[in-house]
Amino acid sequence: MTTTVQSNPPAIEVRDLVVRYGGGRRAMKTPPAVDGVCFDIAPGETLGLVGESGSGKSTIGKALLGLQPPTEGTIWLHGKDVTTASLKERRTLASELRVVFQDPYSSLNPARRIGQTLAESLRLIGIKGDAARARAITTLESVGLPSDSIDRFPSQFSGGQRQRIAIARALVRDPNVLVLDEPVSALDLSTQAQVLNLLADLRDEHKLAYLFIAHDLGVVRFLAHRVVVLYRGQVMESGPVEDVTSRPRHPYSVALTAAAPVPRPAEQIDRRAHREALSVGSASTAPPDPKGCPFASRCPLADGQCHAERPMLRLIGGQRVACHHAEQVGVTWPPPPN
Amino acid sequence: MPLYIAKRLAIGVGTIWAAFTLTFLLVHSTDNSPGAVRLGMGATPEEVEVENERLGWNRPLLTQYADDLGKMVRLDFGQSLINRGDVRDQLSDRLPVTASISVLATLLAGIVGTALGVVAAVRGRGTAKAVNAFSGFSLSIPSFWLGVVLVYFFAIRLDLLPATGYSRFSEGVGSWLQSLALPVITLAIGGAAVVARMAASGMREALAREYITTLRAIGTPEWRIRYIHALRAASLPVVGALGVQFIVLFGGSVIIENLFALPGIGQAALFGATGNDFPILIGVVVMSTAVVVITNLVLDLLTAVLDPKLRTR
Amino acid sequence: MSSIRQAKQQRIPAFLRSWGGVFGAGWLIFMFLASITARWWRPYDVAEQDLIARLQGPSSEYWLGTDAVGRDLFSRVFTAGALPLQASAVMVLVAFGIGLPLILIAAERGGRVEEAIGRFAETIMSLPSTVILLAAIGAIGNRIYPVMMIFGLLVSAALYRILIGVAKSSRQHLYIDAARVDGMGSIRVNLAHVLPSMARPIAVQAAIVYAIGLLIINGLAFLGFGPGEPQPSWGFMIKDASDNIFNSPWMMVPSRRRPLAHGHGGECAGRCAGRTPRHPGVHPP
Ligand SMILES: Nc1ncnc2c1ncn2[C@@H]1O[C@H](COP(=O)(O)OP(=O)(O)OP(=O)(O)O)[C@@H](O)[C@H]1O
Ligand code: SF4
Ligand SMILES: [Mg+2]
Repeated sequence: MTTTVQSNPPAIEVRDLVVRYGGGRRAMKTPPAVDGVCFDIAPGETLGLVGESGSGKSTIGKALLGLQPPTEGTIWLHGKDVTTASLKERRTLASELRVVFQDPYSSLNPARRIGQTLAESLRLIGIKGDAARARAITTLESVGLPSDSIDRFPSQFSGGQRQRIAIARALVRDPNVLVLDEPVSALDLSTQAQVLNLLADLRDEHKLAYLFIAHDLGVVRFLAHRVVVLYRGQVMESGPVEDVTSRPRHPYSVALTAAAPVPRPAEQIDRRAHREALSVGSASTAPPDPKGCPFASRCPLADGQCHAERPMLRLIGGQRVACHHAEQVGVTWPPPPN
Repeated sequence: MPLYIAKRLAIGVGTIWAAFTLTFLLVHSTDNSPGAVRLGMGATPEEVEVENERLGWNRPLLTQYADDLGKMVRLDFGQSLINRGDVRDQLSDRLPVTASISVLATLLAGIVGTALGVVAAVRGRGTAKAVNAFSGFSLSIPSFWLGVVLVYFFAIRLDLLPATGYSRFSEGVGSWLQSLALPVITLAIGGAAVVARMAASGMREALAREYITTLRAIGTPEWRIRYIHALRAASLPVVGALGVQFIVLFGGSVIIENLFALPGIGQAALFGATGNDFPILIGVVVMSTAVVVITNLVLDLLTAVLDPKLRTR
Repeated sequence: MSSIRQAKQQRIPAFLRSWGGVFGAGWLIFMFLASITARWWRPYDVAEQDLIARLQGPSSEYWLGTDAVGRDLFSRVFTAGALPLQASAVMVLVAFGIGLPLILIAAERGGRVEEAIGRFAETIMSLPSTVILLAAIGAIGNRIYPVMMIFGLLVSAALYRILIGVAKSSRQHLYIDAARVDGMGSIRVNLAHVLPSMARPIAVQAAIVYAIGLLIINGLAFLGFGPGEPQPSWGFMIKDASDNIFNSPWMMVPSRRRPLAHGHGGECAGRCAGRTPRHPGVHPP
C-alpha cells in the first residue's frame, strides 16, 4: 500500500479548519470542537482519523459533508472550494461526496423499505422508476446483499447487513469520496472484519478516496494509508500509517497505540498492564492550558516548556508531530514492556 | 437565581403585554364601535359618530394603542360603556371572588390529586386502575355538567350547601366556605385528575430509583421511604403542574361562576361579552392575565426553592 | 420471523392495538358521522314542538324525552353535534397549521431561533384562554368559527411545548443527516422524514385537542354563546336542563351523553396510544 503522488488536485483538501458549536457569546467561551486542522486526501487514498471520544472526529466529517458550517478555514473537493456551499448547492457535489455513519440502527429510516431509501437518493439526481430500481439492485448486490433486500424494511436486517445497506446507499450515487464515520465500531468483531474487507474491495474496485474515522489505531491500520491523530480538535501527529503505528512519536499516539485492541487476549492483558505503567491518565474534563500543549495535563513527559509554549507541528522522519519532546518518545520513553 | 427571577418576570410582563395587544386588536377589528354600544339601539349614526369622536375612537390606531397601553400600565381601563362605572373599581371588587375560587380549587386539586396518585402508585393494580378510570372520566366530562349534577344532589336533594350566591369573607369564614364549596369542588375534580396522573407516574419513577433500593437495604421503614423520600421527589413535577392547573382552573371558574351566580371576574367577562362592553373586556383580560402571571411567578419561586438544581442558576 | 411481524405491526397505529383504543376511535367516528348526517334521518325537526308532551321522560315515541316546549331531545342531541364537531376540527387544523411549522423550524434551527419561538409559546400559553375567548366574542360577536380559530392559536402554543421535544429527538436520527447529505432540501427533509416519524404523538395530541375543542364549544354554548334558539346545542341543553332541574332531572342524562362521549372518545384514543394525555394549558373548562 503505497501512496501515489499525483499532479491532479487532491480529492479533499482541508486548511486551518475551525468549527465551533452554537452561536453567540456562549460559543466563544467553550473551546472549538475542531481547532486549526489541515490535511489532504489524494484520489484513491484512505486517510485514517483517530482520537478518543469527543476529540472532534465526527465534527470534521460533518464539516466536510456540509452538515456543520465551519467557523474558519477552507475545504476543497477536487479543487473546488466547497466551504460555504449550501446543502442545495451541494446536490451536485452530493454525488461525489458520500457518508456512512457509525450507528446502522439510526441511519436508516425504519418506516421505509430499503429500495425506497435508495430510490429517494437517486431521485434527487433525476434517476427514477425502473432505472433507479435496477441501479439499487446492482448496488445492493455489489455490497453482498441479495436483490430481494430491496423490498424489505431495515428492522429485518442485522447490524452488519444494515451497515452494508448504508454503504450501498453511499455508493448508489457513484461517488469518489466517502466519509466513513466509525463504520464498524457498532459491530461485533467478526462482522467488523467482513465490513472492513468489503470497504477495502470497494475502494480498490471504484478507486474511492476514504476519510476513515475511528477511535483506535488498530482498525485504521488495516485500511488507511496515512493517519491523522486528533486530540481536543487539534492534530497531534500525522504520517504514513506504518510509521505512526510502529513508531509513534507523540505521547498521545503512544497511548492510543497501547489502547488498540489486539485479537489475542494474552497480548491484550500485557498491553493493558503496559498502558497502566505509562500512567497516561484518562480523558480529563479539565480545560486545556490555553498557552501550552493541550495534552500537557495528561502527559507523563510534560515539563515547564510544555505548559508555557504550544508545540507546533514539525516534521520528524516521515511524520509531523506537535510535541516538544518528540525526539525522546521511543528512545528514553516509554519504558519497554517487560 | 436573580437572573432566573428576572427572566420569569420578563416573560410575565411579556404575557400581560400580549394579552392586552391581542384584545386591543380584537376590539378594533370589528364594525362595532363604543359609541354605538354606549348609546344603544335608538341612536342615529350621527349621534354615534359624535360619541365615538368624544371617546377618541376615530384617532389613528397606533395613537390609541399607545394611549391605551400607557393607561393600562397605570391600571386605568376607563369607564364601562354600559353602566358607566370605573372598570378598575368594578373588577377589583370581583377579583377576590375569582381568585378565591381558583386558588382553593388548585389547592384542593393538588391535595386530592397527590393523595390519589400516591395511592395509585403504592397500592396494587386494582387501585391504580380505579384511579386511572376516575381521572379518565373526570377529564372528559364538562365541568359545568358536573356542577349541575352536584347542585342537584348536594343543594336540591340533600340540601347541605347553597346552590348559588356568594357570601363575603367578612361575613364569616363558615358561610364564605359554604358558598364556595360546590364551585370549588366542581372545578377541582378535573384538576385532581391531571395531578393524580402526574403524581402517580412521579411516585412510580421515584420508587424505582436506586437510592430507594439502598434505603430499603439499610432498613429504612417502608412508610418513611414512601411518604418522605419518594413523595418529596414526586412532588416537584406536581408543584410544577399546579402552575398550569391554576391557569386552567382560573379559566374554568369563568364558566362555573356563571353557573353558581358568583359575582366574580367571569361574570363580568360574560356581561362584557354579551354587551360588547370593550373597556370591561380589556380590563378583564389584562387583570386575569396578571393574576395568572403572578401566581405562576410565586409557584416558580416555590419550585426553585424546592429544586436544588434550579437554585444555583 | 418476529422481525417481519414487527415490521407489519408498525403499520398499525398503537392506539388501535387495544380494545379501549378501538372503542374510542370507533365511537368518535360513529358520532361524527351520525351528527353530520342527522338532518337527513332525525325523527322530528329540531324546532317541532309538541306542547302536550312537554318535559317528558324517555318513551318509544321520544327516545330521549322532550324539553320544556316539547321538542324531541333525540333529534336535537344529534343535530346539535354537527356544528361543534366541525368547528372543533377547524380549531385543530389552525392549531397544527400554526404550531407544526414553528415546531419544525425551531427543531431544525435550534439556538436562538428555538429560544425565541419557545419564549413566544410560553407567553401565549399563560394566557387564560376562556377569558380571551369571551373577550373575542364580545369584540367580534358570537361567531363560532373565528372564535375557535383564535382558540386554535392559543392551543398551538401548548402543542409547541409538547411536541418540540419529539421533533428535536426525531432530528437526532442519523437518517435525517443522511438525507441532507443526499442533497435533500429542508422542506423535503421535514415532510419526508421528520413529520412521519412524529405521526403517532401528533395523532394523540390531535385527538386530545379535538376533544378539548368540543368541551370548549359546549362551555360557550352553556354560557349562551351557542348557535341560538331554536337551533340546538349541547351546552345550552345542559343549561336548559339545569333550569328545569327541579321538575325533570332526567333531562340531564341525554344532554350529558354527547359531550361526555366525545370527550371520552378522544381521551381514550389518546390515552391508549401509550401516552398519558397531559396537556399543559389547554384543558376542558
Ligand atoms: N451538536 C453539537 N452541539 C454542541 N456540541 C457538540 C455537538 N456535537 C459535538 N459536540 C462537541 O464537540 C466535540 C467533538 O465532538 P465529536 O462528535 O466531533 O467527537 P468525536 O471525536 O466524533 O467523538 P466520538 O468518538 O464519541 O464520536 C465534543 O466535545 C462534543 O461535545
Ligand atoms: S509537548 Fe510536552 S506535554 Fe505536549 S505531548 Fe509533548 S511532551 Fe507531552
Ligand atoms: Mg463521532
